[in-house]
Amino acid sequence: MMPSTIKQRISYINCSLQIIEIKHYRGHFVTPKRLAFLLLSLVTLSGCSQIISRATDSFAGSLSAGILNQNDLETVRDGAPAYLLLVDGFISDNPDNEALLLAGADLYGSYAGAFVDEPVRAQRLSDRARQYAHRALCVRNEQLCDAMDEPFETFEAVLAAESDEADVEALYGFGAAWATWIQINSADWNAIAEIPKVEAVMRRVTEISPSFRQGWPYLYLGVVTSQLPPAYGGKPDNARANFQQALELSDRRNLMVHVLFASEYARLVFDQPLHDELLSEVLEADVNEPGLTLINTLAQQRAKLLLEQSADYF
Amino acid sequence: MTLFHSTNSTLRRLSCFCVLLAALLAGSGAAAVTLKIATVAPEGTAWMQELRDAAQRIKEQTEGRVLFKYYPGGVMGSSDTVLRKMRVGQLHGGAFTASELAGRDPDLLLYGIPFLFDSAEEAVSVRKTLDPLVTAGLADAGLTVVGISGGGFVNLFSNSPVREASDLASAKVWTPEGDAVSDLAFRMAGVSPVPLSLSDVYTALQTGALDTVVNTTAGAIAFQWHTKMKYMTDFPVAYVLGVMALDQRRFQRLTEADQQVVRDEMAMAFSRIEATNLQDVVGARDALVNQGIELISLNAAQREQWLGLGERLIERLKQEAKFDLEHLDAMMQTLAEVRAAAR
Repeated sequence: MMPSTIKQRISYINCSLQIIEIKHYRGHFVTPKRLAFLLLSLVTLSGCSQIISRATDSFAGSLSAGILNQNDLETVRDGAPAYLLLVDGFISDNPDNEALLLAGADLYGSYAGAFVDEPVRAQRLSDRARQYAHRALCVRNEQLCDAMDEPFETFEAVLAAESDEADVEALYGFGAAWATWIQINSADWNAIAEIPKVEAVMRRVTEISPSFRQGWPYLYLGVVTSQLPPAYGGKPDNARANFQQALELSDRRNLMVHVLFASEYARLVFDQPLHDELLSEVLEADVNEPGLTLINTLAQQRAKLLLEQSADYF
Repeated sequence: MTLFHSTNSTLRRLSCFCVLLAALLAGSGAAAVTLKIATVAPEGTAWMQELRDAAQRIKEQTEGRVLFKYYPGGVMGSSDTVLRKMRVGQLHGGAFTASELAGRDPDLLLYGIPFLFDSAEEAVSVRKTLDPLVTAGLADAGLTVVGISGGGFVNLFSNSPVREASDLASAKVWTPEGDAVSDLAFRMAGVSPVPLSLSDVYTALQTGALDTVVNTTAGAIAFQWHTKMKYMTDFPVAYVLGVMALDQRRFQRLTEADQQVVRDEMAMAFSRIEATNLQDVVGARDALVNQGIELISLNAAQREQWLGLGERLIERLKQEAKFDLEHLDAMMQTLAEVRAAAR
């Protein structure tokens, strides 16, 4: 909404200038901590919230892009906490902004899952990711929000009846944050008991939008459906199909698909040729890919380790 | 003289031969022995982590003479297939449930007699009597037991509340395929159970071919059966036990000292696994409640009814001579003592 009064116009100009200034800094030499300070100062300015809201939507996206295109893991590991604080500040000022909440969930979840080894910290950060994602889903769709704590069959029925194209971003964001939270809290049976709900969410995303985000939902489905051996009723064929779909939709450029295909599926079914072939492909691939460079760098690191363990495992 | 010389020379040659033989034997003892072990537990579980940690410690303590190679997630097939592969030397051991080893020693079925125990404490006490007996029984059958861990009890999960046997009248109740004792127990409760392999249960719950199953609380969540169930009867149906058994011939290729290292490390690992299992049972029970599963409590009369069914079942099994009757009596004697002490 455009500001209508003179006071608001002034605020708008002030805010715009500061945003331009920050973008300039970001492109050059500003450190993440300084950037966070600047932006946190910015969001405390009165009268800016609506404008900030729009600016922060795109800024949060830029932040995520900046991180995701980084190929130096240490830079992200050291710099990401400042971004997390920054997003907290934005969300605090825009508590019902779905895009910001999802960006917050994404950043917190990714950082906790990929960079935090200390279990208590990882749990704390993944809790926040899940809370942000849950709030985003509640902002987007009240029925889905209310159904989250219902028994599985009720939840599944509401998911099928009440979600559509407009919900897909929030659903996926929630499913992803939830999956990370489960992975980090896997010692807790409450977390394990929620795996079927995450699977249902990701499956619903693929039903609504089959090629959503170049196959990321299929990657989650591949991992989830690889957890149970056939002797316990698991369906490895479904897991394989999910991973293959993710490979196809990502044009084999998301190297984390290869790594998880190998570590979760190939190890489950004891298929060493597939395991080694997928991982060798990762090691030979170029990690640079818009939006995937960080993930691919992580994937390559992990592929090397898995390949080294291959002879011992199989 | 010649004779002496000849004898002396023969002795010398013989003694050389003995030294050579001893060296060869020592050499074969020193060579690494790999024990290939199959388990249904998936990689990444606490169970597999304990087994891998134990293998690492055994490798270090035996200076690389004893190595373990695991085949997790059931990739080596069913328990019968694993036992067959052990017989021909393709595998050297496996982790089994007690009933899966009943083909080698029927006494393994004693642990899991339905409606036998009223509490975990009773089961733990009975195991002090029974574990050495079945370990000896399996040794006679060519298997060396290196680890035993209790997994708690299986409970009854259903889609309508089950308090008494008559509540099962119209239920579609699962029994594990080939489990004659469970099958008989449910028949004596007036039910015609549906025998199915574990791997088919979830699909049967989805299609409605089953609506009543037994599993541990942790198993119900891990296999996602909880998504299809509404109630859990809060009463122990049967005790679950995990046993790691090795092929005796292979195990005896290790030096006695190395055998002891394996026994000690695996015993410690299985003790930790049991502690984890017991925590899992409690944690999973709470999680089931949080997922909306309603716990059905039984009153004293209802508990007595199920325990009475257990007693009648034992009498029937005695008549059919399914077990070593002396061992069954020893178990029942221990159980009676535990109950008398508790009163």
